[in-house]
This record gives sequence, structure tokens and C-alpha cells, in this order.
Amino acid sequence: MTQNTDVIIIGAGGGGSVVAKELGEKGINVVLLEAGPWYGNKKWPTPNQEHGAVSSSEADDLSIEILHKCFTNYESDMNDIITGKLRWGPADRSQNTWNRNIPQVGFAWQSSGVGGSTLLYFANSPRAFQIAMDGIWPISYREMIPYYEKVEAALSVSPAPMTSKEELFFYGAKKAGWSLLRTLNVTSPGYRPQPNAILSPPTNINDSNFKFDGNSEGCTLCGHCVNGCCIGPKVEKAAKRSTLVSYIPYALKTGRVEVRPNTFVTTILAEKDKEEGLKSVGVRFRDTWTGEIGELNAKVVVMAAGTIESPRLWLNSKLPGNPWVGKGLTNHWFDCVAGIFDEKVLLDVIGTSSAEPYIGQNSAARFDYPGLGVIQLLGISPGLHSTILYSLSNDGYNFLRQPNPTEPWDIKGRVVGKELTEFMTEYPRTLSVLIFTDDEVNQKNGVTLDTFLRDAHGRIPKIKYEPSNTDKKKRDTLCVIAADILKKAGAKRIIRPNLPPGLFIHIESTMRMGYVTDSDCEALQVKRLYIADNSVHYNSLGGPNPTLTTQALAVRTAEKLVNKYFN
Amino acid sequence: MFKIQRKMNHTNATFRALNDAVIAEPLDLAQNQGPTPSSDTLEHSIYEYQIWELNHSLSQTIFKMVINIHLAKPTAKILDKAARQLIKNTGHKEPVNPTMLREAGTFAALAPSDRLRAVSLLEQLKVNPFSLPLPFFYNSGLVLSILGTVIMLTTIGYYSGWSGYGSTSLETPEKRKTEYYPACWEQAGYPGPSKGYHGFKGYLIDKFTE
Repeated sequence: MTQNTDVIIIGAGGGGSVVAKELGEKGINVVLLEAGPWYGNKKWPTPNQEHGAVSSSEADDLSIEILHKCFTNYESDMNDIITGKLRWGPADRSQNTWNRNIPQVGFAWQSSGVGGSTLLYFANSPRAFQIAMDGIWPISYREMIPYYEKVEAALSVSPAPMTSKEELFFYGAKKAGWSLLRTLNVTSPGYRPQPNAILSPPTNINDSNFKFDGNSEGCTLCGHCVNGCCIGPKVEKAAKRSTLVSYIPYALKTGRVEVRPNTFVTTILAEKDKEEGLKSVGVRFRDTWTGEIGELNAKVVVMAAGTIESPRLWLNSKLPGNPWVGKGLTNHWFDCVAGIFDEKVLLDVIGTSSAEPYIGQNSAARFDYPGLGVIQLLGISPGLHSTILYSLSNDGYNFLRQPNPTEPWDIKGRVVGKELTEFMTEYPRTLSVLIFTDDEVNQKNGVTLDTFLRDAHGRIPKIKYEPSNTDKKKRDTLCVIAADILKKAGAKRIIRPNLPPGLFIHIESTMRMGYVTDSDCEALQVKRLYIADNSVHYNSLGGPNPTLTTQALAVRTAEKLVNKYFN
Repeated sequence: MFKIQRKMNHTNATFRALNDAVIAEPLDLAQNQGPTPSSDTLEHSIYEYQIWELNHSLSQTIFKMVINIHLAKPTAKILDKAARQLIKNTGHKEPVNPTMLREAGTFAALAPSDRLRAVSLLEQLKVNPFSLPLPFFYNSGLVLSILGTVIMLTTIGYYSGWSGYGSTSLETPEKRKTEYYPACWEQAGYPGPSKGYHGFKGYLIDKFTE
């Protein structure tokens, strides 16, 4: 069979882009296929309005001017899950999103496009907890360290800067008796700045004559990480190190990587080989603008389509049955806890009358508790703030519930009407934190194919997640700790929405290492097929944000892949 | 309670009623910056945003044809269904408005807090799933999913400043343009998108150890 390239990678998100760069640097030719648009490239000057070119393989094609035009920083323009630029759907926003059947309250917050969901992530880059890996995963934490270090260096992972809200959070955590952690390898509970992949602010940022024109190098504390981030003099120097602005430029600079957006892979092509058994030989794809179908062949295929789409692709491709394909989904069963403060308290503690939730990085401080999970600061614009805090809940409406004086929160469930208006007028004096639960793998949770519903790319994924009683206990404990930190910081009122389990943001472990792949992330039943996204995680890492681990694994997978098939 | 506009059909009236239950009475726009429309035309027309979004969120491919499934109308119908059940079971706490009942539907005729009691009946799966219209017929998962989305769209639409799109608010996304600073941001004390702040307060630690 004619080979179009050495390796095809499906998905230019957090994992696929890393594999592309690593392979390109080793002299391997790569075609990287991405379902969504490419923002910030001269070949797609208006990526949501017209098809543009087929592919790009030149770093010179990148354009910060186009990125500035595309990323407007308006929540409704960027983050609307149905029509936003950072949605799970085709580049053409006059077309609908790509549906998922999620038969419970919630949604999957993912983005298509070059950069994938790192376009909207907060760039938080902690490592997995060692106690969640050692003796549990097929590989040890120690084995991961050099790969973590390589990605941390590539993304300039460093302690996040403080603004008012971080200062307030650290004050509360210290007063609550917790320790300051200074390590990347967290083994005991405590608080610390986020290790994040955002370039440090310029040293003169507080000078009154510092010009905020969007072209300076380093984070300007504008608070728009979740809206995409386009602060920087060049695409490859943009402050938030999504793979759009980091690993994709690195990959293009190898001269070996061709990136093709607007290309949805619908089938993994596989055939039986006398020596190797069943092996992948290429992919079938659909152009999302024209609907044209095409095929590409390669020596190796890497699936990096994400925790929902990778198992969907496996199942739609009718690859061999495996009781763990799509199964074991974890999502850190998020919750949120917030405190509302009086102006006087804020003045006393941080010297300003506002916690300024819209100033600074969206999440620049955290609290880690191996064995339970994570608490991380959350400062976002009013649309997402009001939605996460007041209109997403597993508990109905606060005004309909019976108050429980033994609980450390005053408000629980959705907040509506005059109470909502009142709380939103307190937005500047509200400090919010997210809760990530160290949730268990359960084979009953996961991704299957919907029996009836199809889209242009085959049967759509159906997603189910139900946490366990152990997960509930851990999550409740974290919420109590969070409420205590906020109270110790001086909050007069505590709010807990009790977010629904169907909120899919940190989605992991639907194609688990050891069950669907071997310890090198090659599929057990299909040779020359690798997986390089969150789906291959053995578990939910103990609670830490998953992207860095996926990226470290992607470096390792590229190394293993080259050693096996290209040496 | 909102006034029924002459051209407002049942779906519009039902979503408008839901919005008014979630988002409180019209806001004081007196201190708003820049040119603003009246509260009744935009700040409280989030129902139009919800309807647009619901009618553009689900499609189905049948024999290679992409069919757009409009969800707003059946969603309004199940809200009415729940409202009738609430009244039948005398679960409502406030009187039903007879004018609204006649002109806008059962859900809109309930007091705002009772509307959310009706929504709760659906969310708690207390409405017979076989009595619901397609595509909600015997599809509790879709009921939960869409109601969750509808409530979420109210706050995301309102507080993300959708109304700031002004005269372009119902255009397709590429044609929308921000025309003014939304009143809800004034209310929330949010200055709007910015390219940066002089807000740096140093580092708690300079670097991490291994």
C-alpha cells in the first residue's frame, strides 16, 4: 500500500500536538488531522466564514494579527457552547454543534480547533499525585518524571503570579492552618500557587504608563485565559501556552509536520497482517466544509481525539471488541464553593474593597490533598461565573430547600430571582473555588454509541457518569475544607451549588492503559495504533488537572513509537 | 409580571416567563454607560437568545440529510404540561393569572416561584414521560439535559452580555457585533473585556522544588 506519510495523528489538541512535535524532531513525517478550525494562520484569514486552504506546514503562516481578530475576549462570542468559537463543532458557525447524547444534567466542555480544548483551558499544569500512580498504573511516577520535566520546560511551567483574589485565598488557607507547598511532587495537603503554563507578567506591568495593547510579551492579567488568550507579539509567544501557540509552532518548525484543520476522522482503517496480526494502516476522513470523504495511509496512526471521540472512533471503526473501550470514565465530579465578603474585610485583608475576580489569571492558586482531590481558585467573567455558581446544580433551587444548619454553607442549589440579582451585585466581592474529586474508575461509566442518533460522522457518542458513595464523601470533605478556608479569609456568606455529575471538563480514562493499550500506549488489539489523549489515563490522577500528564505521556509515547517502528 | 406583547406566541411567552423567574425584575439602567436600548427590548429578551440556541443545538442525520431539530417549541410544551400538573395537584403557592392563562399559556400564568416549582416536577421526573411530546416522549434523559441547558442559557446569555449585540443579537454568530455595554455588567460591577490590569501582587514562591 502507498504510504502518504509516516504517522497520522488524529486531533491537534493537548496530546496530539505534542506527539507531532516530538516525531517531527526525530525526522518522522507527520500529518496532523484536526476536526475544527485554525485560528491565527494566514491560510485561514476568516476561519469561521470560509474553507480556506487545505493544510499548512510552515511556521511562517502563523499570524498574531489574525489571532487578535479571532479571539475577541467576549464570553458570548468565544465560550457559548452552541455558537461560540471555542465549541465542539465545525468551523462554520452557521452549522450546528456536533451532538453528544448526555442523558443527565450537564454538558461536555470541549473545543474543536487546532489547540483543541487547550484553547479554553486555564493552562494549569500540575503533575499527577504520586500515590495515585505508584503500584496502580502500569508505569510509575518516577518513570514519568523526565517526561514531566521536558513538557514543563517546553511550556515554561512556573508558579503563577498573585493578584487580589490569590492573596485572599492564600490568607484564608494559611489562617485555616494549612501548609504552603513548594513542590511539584505533592505528597501531603497544602496550598500553593498554580504551576501553570502562562508566561510570567512583564516586570513593569504595574507602571502606570505600561501600555496594554495586546502585543506585549507575558501575561497582562487580563483574565481571559478561558476565552482563548491572544496576548503576545507573535503567535508562538502568546501568554497562555495552549498547544495552538506552543507545540504546534514547535511542530511546524521541524519541517516534518503538516497540519490539516476542518478534517474529521470517521474511521480507523485496519487490516490483518500475517506477522503483526490486525494493524492500523490509515484513516478515512470527512472535510467539514465540503462533506468530501478522503483516505490517508501511514505506517502508524495515533488517536488523540479526546476522551469522548477516541472511543467513539474505535467503536464506529468496528475495531475488535474490548470490555474497557469507552468504559471507566472519570471526570473529577466538580463542585464549586464561593464566599461573599464585606468591603471592610477585604480592605483589612488585601487592601482593596474588591476581590477583583476578573483581574489576573482565571485560576492562579490551588490546594492539593492527595487522597481526596483538589481545590483551585476560580476568577472568571460574569457569564460563566453566574452559570457555574448559580444555575448548574444537582440540588434543585435554593429557595425550595429546607435549610440545614449543620452544613457550612448558607446557600445550596440554584439561585434565582431577586436573590440571584443580589448575589450578582456582589460579584466583585465574591471569591470562588472549584473542587476536583479524586473519583474512582467504574466500568459502568463511559462512552457508548447511541442506538439511534447519527451525525455526518457516524453514530454519536452517548455519555454516562454516576459517581460512587466514596466519591461523594471525598467531595463533601473537600467542600467543607473550602468553606473553612473562605470563612477564615473573612467571608460572611458561603455558597455551594452542588454541581451535577454530568459536567464533563476533566474527562479521563475511557481507553485505559493496561486494558485497551499496553504500557507504551499502543492498542493491545490493533498494532500500529497508539493513543495520546486523556482517555489513556489509568485513573483520574488523584484529582490534579489532566493535561500535563497527557502531554508527558505523549512525549513518552512518541519515543516508544519511534523505537518500535522507525529504528 | 411581564406584559404580553401582541406578537408573542406561546413559545416566546413561555420562555419569557421562565427568564423572568430566573432573572429578577427589570434593572435600573439609569447609570448605564453609552447608548442603551430600553430594558424591555433587550435586557429582558434573553428568551429570544434561548430559543435561537435551542433551535440550533440539535441536528440529526437521516439518509445523509442533516435535519435541524427545533427544540424550543416542544420544550415550551413540556413546561406547560408541568404547570398544569402543578395546578392540578395544588402545588402552586400563588394565584394563577387568568389573563395570562388565556393569552400566554399555563406556565406563564404561574407566579415566578411557582414556575420553578413546575420546572422541578420535570427535573425530578414526576411528570409522566409517556405524556410528553416528541422528542421528550419517554425520554427522561433528554428532559434532564435540555432543562439543565435552558436554565444555564438564561444566566450565560444574560450575564455574558448577549444583549450588548443590540440590533445584531439574532443574527448568525459571525454577523453579531457588540454595540453597547450591557446593563447587566454595570449591575455586576464588571468593567467588560480588557487587555490587562496593573494588578500584579508578586509571587508567593519563586520556583517549585522537585
